[in-house]
Amino acid sequence: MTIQLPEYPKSNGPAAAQRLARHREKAAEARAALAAELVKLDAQAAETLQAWDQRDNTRDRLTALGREQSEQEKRDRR
Amino acid sequence: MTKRNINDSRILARQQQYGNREQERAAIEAVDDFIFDKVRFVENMTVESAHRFIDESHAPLTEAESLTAELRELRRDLDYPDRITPHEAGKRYPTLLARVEETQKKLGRVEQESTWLEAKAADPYAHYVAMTDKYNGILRPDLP
Repeated sequence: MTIQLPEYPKSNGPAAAQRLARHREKAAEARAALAAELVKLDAQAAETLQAWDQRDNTRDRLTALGREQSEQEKRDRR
Repeated sequence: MTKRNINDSRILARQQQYGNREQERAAIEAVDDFIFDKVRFVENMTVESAHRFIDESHAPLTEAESLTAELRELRRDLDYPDRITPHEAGKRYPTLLARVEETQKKLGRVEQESTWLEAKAADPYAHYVAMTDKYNGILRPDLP
């Protein structure tokens, strides 16, 4: 025969458990928000780096073209 | 005196022979009250630890909020590459990344600690039974 024991009358434990659950959820949300923002930043950084590389390449090429042009002009004058 | 499992002790009190119903009721109540008082003490300590822990572990959440804003600000600056130099971006990014990693670790620890305390606070009786079973002979009470 199974004896049913009366349950312990809980006091303020469950309320504290609820507060802890909210605290845990807030920490999880903050961690997820940080991770999500970092992903967005990385994507933007990749795009910007590409733009900077492209800008540098363009400048290098234009500078080289300008240099070639002036040398050609010097040669033409001679 | 034999130190029994708490539930076994409560069952044993109910299986004893008593002179009359009043003696039986009083004996069972004495055992239950004795155990419930012990559980209540542990419950109160757990609740106190829980509130203290919550109050003392807000810093990583505040840091995460400010970091999220700083990450967003750097992203906006990078969206207009004339606003920021590659040198400045190269200085700001690794510093932010290191802070993000550190804060994420701290937040993970807050989650773990909260989960651990939450289980104890939600069911103080189960926590007390588990604790006295684990430390048999040290914590298990000598029943009246």
